[in-house]
Order: sequence, then C-alpha cells, then structure tokens
Amino acid sequence: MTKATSDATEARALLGRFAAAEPAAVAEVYRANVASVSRVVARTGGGSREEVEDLVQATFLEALRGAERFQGSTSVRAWLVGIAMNLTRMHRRSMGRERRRRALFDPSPDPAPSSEARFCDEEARARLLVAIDALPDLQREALVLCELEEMSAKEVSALLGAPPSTIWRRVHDARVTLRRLLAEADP
Amino acid sequence: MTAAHLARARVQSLAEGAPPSDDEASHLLECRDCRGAVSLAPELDAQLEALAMAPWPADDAATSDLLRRAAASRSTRSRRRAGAVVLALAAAAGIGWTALRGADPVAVDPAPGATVVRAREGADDVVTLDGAARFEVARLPAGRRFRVRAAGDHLEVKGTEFRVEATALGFSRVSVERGVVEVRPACCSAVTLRAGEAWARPAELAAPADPSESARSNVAPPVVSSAPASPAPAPPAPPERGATLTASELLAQGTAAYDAGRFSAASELLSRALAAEPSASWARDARVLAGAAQVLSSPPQAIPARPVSVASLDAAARRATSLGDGVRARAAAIGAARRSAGEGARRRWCALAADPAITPPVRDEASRACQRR
Repeated sequence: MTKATSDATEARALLGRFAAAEPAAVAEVYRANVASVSRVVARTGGGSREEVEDLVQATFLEALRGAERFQGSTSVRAWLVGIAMNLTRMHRRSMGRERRRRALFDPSPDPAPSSEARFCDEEARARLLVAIDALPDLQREALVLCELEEMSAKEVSALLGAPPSTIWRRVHDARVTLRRLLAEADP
Repeated sequence: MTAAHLARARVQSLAEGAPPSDDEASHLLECRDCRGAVSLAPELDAQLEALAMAPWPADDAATSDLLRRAAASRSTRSRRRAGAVVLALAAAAGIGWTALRGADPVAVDPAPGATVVRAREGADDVVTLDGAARFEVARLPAGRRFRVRAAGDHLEVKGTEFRVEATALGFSRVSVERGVVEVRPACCSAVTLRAGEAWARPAELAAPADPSESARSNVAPPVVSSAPASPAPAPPAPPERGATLTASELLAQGTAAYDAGRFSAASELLSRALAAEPSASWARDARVLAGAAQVLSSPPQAIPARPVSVASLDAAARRATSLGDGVRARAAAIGAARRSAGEGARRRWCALAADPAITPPVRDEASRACQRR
C-alpha cells in the first residue's frame, strides 16, 4: 500500500468515526484543523471575529452532517477548507448585499476590513492583512491557499476548480495587486 | 517537477510574463524560492512568509477539558480506545469483572448496558461512567489516584470495593463494601464513605435531564435509607431543574453527557452553560460541541433541508433534460410547479399535464391546476 493510499484510508477511517459522532474523533478532527479553517475563513473575508467564529463552527457542523460523503480523494484538511470557503463565499455575498443596502442610507465606508487585522500588533502585518482583504475574491482565495496555507497545487486546483496555470496566474496577479496596495498605503 | 528548481532562463521568461505550463505552475505554487524569483518582490515574500508562520490566536486559545483530553497524544489513543471498546463489550455482555489494564489494580464489573470509558490513565486515572458498575481497587501505589466521574461529580478511592450508579446528572448512588471512598458531587458538599455506608443524590436533585434517556438507562432509582449525608427534605415545589448549577458545572455535565453519547442532554447542558457564561474561555469549543450534539441528537429526517428555490428546480429540470434523464427532469419540474404561484404555477402545471410521461395521480393534479384561473 502506498503512503498516499494509506493516508486516504486513514482519513476515511477517521471521518467514519467522526460521522459516527465518536467524541474522540470529533475532537481530533476539530483540534487538528480548527486553526487552519479559522485562518482561511478570516483571510478570505469572513468578516468580524464573531462572524469568523460562527463560520468556523458552521464548517464543522456541515462537515459532521456530510462526513459520510467524504470520498478520501483529498486530505481531511482540504475537505474542511473547501466547506469553509463555500460558507465564507456565501457569507461574503450576503454581507456585500447588506453593505450595499446600508450604503444607500449611510455613505460612510465600512470601517472593518479584516478581523485578524484588529488583533495584530505589528503595523506592517496589519497593513498586509488589510491589503489581502481588498484583493478581488479569486485572487485572494488563491493567495491565501497557496501562500499562507501552503496547500499543494493539486489540492488548490481541486478546491478552486481551475488548472494550476490559472491558479498561478491568480496568485501572480494577487502579488502584483498587493505590492501596489501596500505602496499606496505606505507612500 | 517539484523536486528541482526551474532553470534560471525559464524563471527569467516567466518573470517577464510568459505563461507557465501546468507542470511549471504546480511547481511555482509549491516552491517559495521559484515563486520569489519570478515575482521579484523579496519584501512581499518575507511579509507573506511571516504571516504564514504567525500563530493563529486559536492555537493558544484555552480549550475545554473534553477537547484537550480526547485529542491527547496519538500514541496512547489506540490503546485507550481499545480499552474503552473492551469495557463497553463487557458491559453489554455482562461478563463480569474486567481488569482495566493487564495487571491493573483496578477491576470493574459493569451492569448490563452500562458504559465505562477510561478518560485518562497514568498516575491520575479517571474513568467516566454511564449506568451502574461495581469497582474493585487494590491498594494503589503511592502517588497514584483513581477517580470515577459522572457529569460534574467525582469520586476518589485509594483501595476499596464499591458500587456506583450514574445518570446524566451525575452520581445517583454510591455504596461502599470495603475501604474508604470520598464522594465529591457537584450538587452537594463532599462526603467520606466507609464500608457499609452509602450516599444517594437528594431527591429534589435526582430528576433525570431527559425522560427518554432515563428510560434507556439501567440505573435503579436512588435509595437514601443508608446515606450518611442526610438529604434535604423534599420541598413542596421542586426547584427548577439545575437552577443551582454554575456554568462550569453545566459545562462538565454537558461534556460528560457528550462523552457518554447522550447528545440531547449534552446539547441542552452545554447551551445552558453558554447562556450563563457566553464569553468564557471555553465558550468557543462548547459552542462547537453543543452544535455537534444538537446535530447528532436529531434523527436524520429532522435536520431541516436547505430551502430549494423554484429557479434552482427549473435549472435542475433543464440540466436533467439536457442529460436525457427524464425521471429527474419531471421530478424537478413537479417540485417547481408545487413551489410556484400565480401564472408561473399554472404555466408549469399545464406543461406537466401535456407531458404523456406523467403518471395519473400527478397528471390529475396538473390538469386541475392548469384549468384553475
């Protein structure tokens, strides 16, 4: 049995125990992935800290409901990140609609670009997080998964439904945009 | 492709905007060095790398006892799980005394249906109990403890034989056959029991958290006749269930109920703990557990389905038609007709009424709806 096959079998077994509500398996999946899922949700636009926490919880509950559908074609982490990104996209779309609705009555800009930025001590990192939050959605998702989560090209391609060359173009464009945004923020 | 770096000439052309092949792109996505060489932005590279390495606040967040315990080292997990399975099987089969481990000084005789799970092992042994079980503990070596836990209740022993009955609320009765046991129930003050003595939960605190779960347990009703700790007389109107429990006690009981697989009780107890202390350090984990317990306590059909829009059903019908799947196409079309209203509904029903593949009951429904003005 190859290592990849063995990993996939182990992942399916863990998810089987997770789906069967075995407390240790629920805790293991949660503990092993909560930081990664939280980072992805926060950095792909989950919103305030409370919103990020809600989305992270929703991710694990969705996973619990759908654990039987896990095929083992990817890692448990990539599977959870995929669920988290879908929920975050839906949340971001609904928040976008809400912001536009609010903008009709309140012309002041939204003052909360990123949850993590508020907890970040270093100014440069905070500026970087704000700039990442301002990226177009496709660029931000590719950048977060490849640069910050360091997921494999295969996993990112599967998650975003695009070939590696397209993902690379998005990452490349994101970096160009980031450099411009950071230069504008720090003239 | 990922092993060796890209050739310098190729990096140069990629930096000038040449599109990479899929193989090259895969390499660039996984190789920070080559990515940096192509992008020519070392300062940005350093910032992104620092951000990737930065600890996430959740990494340091306090976690609940359940999560910390259950996610303990992988090396001991399988051994511990095997022990739990053995004990559960022993309980189900009623096969009598089982040593918790090889030459362990602790042996357990669970009643049929009871579950005994070793939650922690080592110098400070802890088992969780759901149901009734008899324990026999030989004299423990110096420095070693053995405790039994049910919800927020603890019981500690040095060397004795005793019987414990437990429900979702904690211990309902403890009786000591020999030796000394210290019982520390969450509801009341601690009590030390000697051979021949027993403790029973006061009547007003003995109400089961969930009648259906009570019916499933094999626990005998508590008997207070020989309890050395005199229980309070039953008040005319019992207090609200669990009204005196603190958030920490509710959390402990909720996690223990989850441990024991009683998810509806766990959901309720954890929700009450969160309501009492919504910003506690354990709140985040407790919310996940409470949500998980809620999902797991619902029968599959009780989980609300996502609302399906008429537009998505129309799209599904079109997609199925294009794939030649007439059955699914008709099912989606019927769903769309039933969910729509007004002229849109009438148009959909008329189309269905004209479809020769529609079977009589739905055809009648479609014909009536089509003729309706």
